[in-house]
Amino acid sequence: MTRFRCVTFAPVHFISIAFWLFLPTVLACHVALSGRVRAQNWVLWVASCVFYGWWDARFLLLIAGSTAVDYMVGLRLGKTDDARRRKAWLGLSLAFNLGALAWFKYAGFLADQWIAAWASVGVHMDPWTTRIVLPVGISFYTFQTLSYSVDVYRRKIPPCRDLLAFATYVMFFPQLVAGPIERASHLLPQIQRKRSVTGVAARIGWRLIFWGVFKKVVIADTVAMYANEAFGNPACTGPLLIIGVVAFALQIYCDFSGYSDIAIGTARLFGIRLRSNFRFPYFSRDLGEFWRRWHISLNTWFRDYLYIPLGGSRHGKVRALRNVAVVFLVSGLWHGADWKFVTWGGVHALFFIPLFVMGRNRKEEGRWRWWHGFQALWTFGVVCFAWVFFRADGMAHALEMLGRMGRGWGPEGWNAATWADFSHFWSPCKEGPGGGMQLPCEETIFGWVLSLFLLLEWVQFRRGVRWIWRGIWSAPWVEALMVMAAWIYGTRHASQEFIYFAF
Amino acid sequence: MALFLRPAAIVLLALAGVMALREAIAPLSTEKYERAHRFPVVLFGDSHAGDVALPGVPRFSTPAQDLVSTCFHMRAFAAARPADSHTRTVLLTIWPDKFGPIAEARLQEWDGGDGWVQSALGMSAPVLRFGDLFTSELPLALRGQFVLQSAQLRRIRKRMGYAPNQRHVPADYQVRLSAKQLHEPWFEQASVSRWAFARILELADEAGWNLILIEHPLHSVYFPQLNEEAVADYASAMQAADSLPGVHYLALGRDSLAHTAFVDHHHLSEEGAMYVRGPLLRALDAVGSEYVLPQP
Repeated sequence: MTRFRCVTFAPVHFISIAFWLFLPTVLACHVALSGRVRAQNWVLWVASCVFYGWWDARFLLLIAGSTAVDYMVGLRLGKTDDARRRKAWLGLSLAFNLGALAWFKYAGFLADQWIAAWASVGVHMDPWTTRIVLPVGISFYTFQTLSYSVDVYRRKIPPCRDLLAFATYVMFFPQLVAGPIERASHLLPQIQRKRSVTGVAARIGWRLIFWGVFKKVVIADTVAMYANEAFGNPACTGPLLIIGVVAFALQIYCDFSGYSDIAIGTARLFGIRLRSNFRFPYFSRDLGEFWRRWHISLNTWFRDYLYIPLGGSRHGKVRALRNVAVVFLVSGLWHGADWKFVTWGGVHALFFIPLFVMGRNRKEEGRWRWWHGFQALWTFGVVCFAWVFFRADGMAHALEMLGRMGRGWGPEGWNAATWADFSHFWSPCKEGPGGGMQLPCEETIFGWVLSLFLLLEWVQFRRGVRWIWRGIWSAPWVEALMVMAAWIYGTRHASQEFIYFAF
Repeated sequence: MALFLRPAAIVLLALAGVMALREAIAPLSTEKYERAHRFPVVLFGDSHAGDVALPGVPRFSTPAQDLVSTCFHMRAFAAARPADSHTRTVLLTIWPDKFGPIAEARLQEWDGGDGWVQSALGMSAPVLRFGDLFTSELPLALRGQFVLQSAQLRRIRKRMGYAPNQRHVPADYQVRLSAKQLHEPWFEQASVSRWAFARILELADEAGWNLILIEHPLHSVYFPQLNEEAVADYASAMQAADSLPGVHYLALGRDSLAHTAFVDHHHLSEEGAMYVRGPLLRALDAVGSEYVLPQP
């Protein structure tokens, strides 16, 4: 078989000493140039180049190419009213951006399918080996620049005539590699106008950064050990696999929303507001609500640039159903060139379409009642079922895992000893009073930390994000506790790469 | 103010909190060292300590533990000595790779990318002190890691038993060492490891311990590949240590054993461990140790 090995490279990692030296330096330069927008934009652009090119500067050329093409397309679109020419210019932008995405992300996948198809009819093609390095963040910034060209084409926004501002919009380092995917109509004006950072904005920004670091380092990286064990150990069965899948659900949420919080908080320090990307999705009562709360910037992008252009729900139910299915499948494919991602999207489509048919997908969220807990639990179960495909090493692995989930529900598969073996990454368990297994102190403490985190999430969901950060929770010692926990856990285990760096 | 000073104050507050917490749990580790002083022999080292077939000997070791951490463990053990300490003999597993390019690179670079910082250095967190930041003989990167890792709320691990390993390598076992081990005079370059080794010798002398350096048998594929100059330097350093009062070098590295004695080129199966036990018991006798091998 062909082996296109997609390898990502890493920009400056938010959870690294380098970033914590980088950020204050850039911030100090930005503050020193306060009131001089162009100079500040130079600082942001140069900082973004350093941030992205930290390990491998080659792919700065790709972003530069994308920036130049879309900037030029924007200017040309602004100069002509001829419909055919406008379409041609938009086509150029689509071809460049989607072409780059297709080559770096999907060429290997397509070649594999091509060779496999021929092999199935007895024609064996010689395998060839090539190596494609997947530029980190390509799926994010490509969508961001594409949205600019489409919006200019649709005359929703005027073309940007300031190349520096446009390049800063494309490369703005806090959200460059993993979003939130910004729209030009929202971000560009902020880059072009005079920015000021109030004391309140700075406090909110830092608090979001510390909260994001806490979510990533303390929760995501720790539950990742359970998830890795469940997905990596073929001996795991039934309840341990369920726990592993739930652990992955928590991991990916805290990992990605943690990244988004750090990105949004960092942008606030530069006087820029980014759009919210997550709104407590695991408390959703149905999949429609889930998708209004999960990776919001991507889902609204698909709505505006794929679902609506396909006809949306304007041409009857059947066409609308097709459009919904396309969006979910493309959303899966956006995550990676693998059938497991397509299946992940397909599973969501399968459970979403009944809601859509019944017209319940846009139901007002309204007041939370106690029975909504059961609905939320069901929705969380469906989401976790789909995560199995997302996290597994491939389709075969996912199906094999689902098969194993049915086994090991008896006392032989679910007892203190199997749990001790499952969570071997902590200190060894001890025998407690009465001969029962006693969890190691570290694991018990983490259980309490996780419970507190879930409680905080619940309170924020019910009472609003602002509510939780008032009063005693706004005290500096709360943020100091977050940093303390991140320090303690961050040195306890190796930091995991942000999951969405791979997309 | 809110942009720079507040976050700086928060980080400082967190640092103070971590240090206070750490001091609060430090006695839990100290207690383990104090208990170990009830035994006549205590063992330090890396994964090789797991191959020492002396039941009933407290062992403070972690796989891939570096000599600097070992030195700090021994320092902590010495500091916890009660007036009625029974410990007269300290064992230390040693072999050329403790000074090798990989071990040294881990100590000199910020992060070798192999997870050693978390898996081995991090396990020494309870004995790493904030004050070690000011040990000017050590590389700044390592001292920085001491500060970061010292924040972990861990307790030191003490093991007592020996778990025999029944596996062994095949008769045609081969292993290829890294190019640096083959071609570079790495012992001369191992400034940090040599510094730590010298401190260990000083510490044993100050504490009045008999220090037995145990070099386990190494598979026959190992020594012929090593850089000759480096091996000569290593041998000479071990001989120099052996000549010090109270230090004994149990040089079994070149002993010729069957492949069934090895789990890999430097770890011993039960057969290998039993081979070492004889000379080790004689060495303990020679230094007048009160250690008695428990009867099965």
